[in-house]
Amino acid sequence: MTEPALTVFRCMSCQTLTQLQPVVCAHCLQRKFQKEDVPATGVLASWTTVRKPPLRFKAEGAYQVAVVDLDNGMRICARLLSTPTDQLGDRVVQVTENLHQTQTPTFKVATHG
Amino acid sequence: MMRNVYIAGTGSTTFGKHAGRSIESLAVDACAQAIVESGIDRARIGAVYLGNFISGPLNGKEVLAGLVAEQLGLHGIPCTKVEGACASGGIALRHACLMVAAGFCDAVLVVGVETMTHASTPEVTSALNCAMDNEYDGLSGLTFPGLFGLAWRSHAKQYGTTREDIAAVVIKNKAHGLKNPLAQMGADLTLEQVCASAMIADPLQLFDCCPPSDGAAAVVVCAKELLSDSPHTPQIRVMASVQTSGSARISQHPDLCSFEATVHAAQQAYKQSGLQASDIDLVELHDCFSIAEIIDSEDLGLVPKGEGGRWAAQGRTGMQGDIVINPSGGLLAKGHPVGATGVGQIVEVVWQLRGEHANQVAGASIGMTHNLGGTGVACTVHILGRDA
Repeated sequence: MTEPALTVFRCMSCQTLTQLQPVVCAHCLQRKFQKEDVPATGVLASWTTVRKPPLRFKAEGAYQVAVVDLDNGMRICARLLSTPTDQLGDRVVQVTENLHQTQTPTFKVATHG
Repeated sequence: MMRNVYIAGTGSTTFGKHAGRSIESLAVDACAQAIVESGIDRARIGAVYLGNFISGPLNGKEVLAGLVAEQLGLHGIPCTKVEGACASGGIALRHACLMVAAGFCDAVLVVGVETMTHASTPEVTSALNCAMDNEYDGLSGLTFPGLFGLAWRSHAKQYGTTREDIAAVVIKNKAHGLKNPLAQMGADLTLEQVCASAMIADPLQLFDCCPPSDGAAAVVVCAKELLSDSPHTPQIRVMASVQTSGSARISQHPDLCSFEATVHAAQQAYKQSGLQASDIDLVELHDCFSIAEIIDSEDLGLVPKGEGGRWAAQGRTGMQGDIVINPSGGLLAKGHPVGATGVGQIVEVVWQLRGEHANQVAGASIGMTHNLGGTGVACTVHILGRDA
């Protein structure tokens, strides 16, 4: 089984990584990017349960949003399939079972602590 | 050589529900009070800056600055609406200060205004979410309560801040609100009541959140020579006026419980005024959520990093504390008509420095305001003082 991977964008001029493709690289203002798969594993920096969503997410009811520090050093916003025992600092891994959400990667805790 | 800038007149509606009132009418109400109080001839007012965030999505109205000026008989002068989410009011004031300091105008009218209570909660949440990077963080479904839920967990893990510590902020500000006739929802709350309120964005509960509000606040800023027309003493001088920016993306915040825009604005404000944190008698800061007050107090250098929760719990930020935070009741109790908040904070501090406030801080001579927009994407810090 292959390791889960997240597709990000690398500036071909200065090598800066971004989660989504920008118009220009904010670091060097160049415009060429290449897609790159990075390991979709990291650490749970923080998370919350959004119980009062804005209109475009209203149909989902409550859902969890997390900040994940990927092992490659990038910090991203993501969805989280949480459990009551999840703690900040837990190891997390991307999953593909969150059918509601297609625009944002979803993670779950792999190991505690 | 920059000129000194003074606050000559103040005006404010109550913050709360103003059912049936148009957004322009609230602004006009506050502005007329400020102009009359200043004693300054309207012909001397050279510009209008109006802070507002979401009159477009919630009211279907724009060009508010011009609409309001016309109803005040101010014709032909530049009228500008500025927008920086929850910091819109502070930004309006900053631009007015720049115009007077640079000598382009001798007097400038500043007003902040918002109406929100006519809209449903999902509509308000969606409108407020205009202040998020919706092509980035916003794709996750993150909201502003959610952002501060993330910050809370991070502060709790790093510094051991507890539910009880954070409830102390709510209880204090709601109690202050009871003494402020402008406040929307002052209350005498217990820890049990705070802890029993509905969960909004875990661990953030309902009483940890400021309410949506309607309201307007206004000031007239001017150069020293126009103060002879003003009956008010002591004269209140703007000792620092600073605006900064920070990342709109939470993923670009290295510390989830600190806003770099606030840290930088405070550093610049202390430098500009020649003051230090220990000189500040009171601060009206941006407690959009209870945990935000703790974070802001640390970012402003008023409380040691990580100690904000404990200082609140120990009463060190109350009326008799080391630093009095939000004697108005803050956003939590006074209310948060978003675009009005930054100007409302200035009105509160001016009244404190004049010694005229309904919840007076004894002997207040130096006051600070802090107004933070979005995910810390816009920030203003002002320091006001009595002129010697």
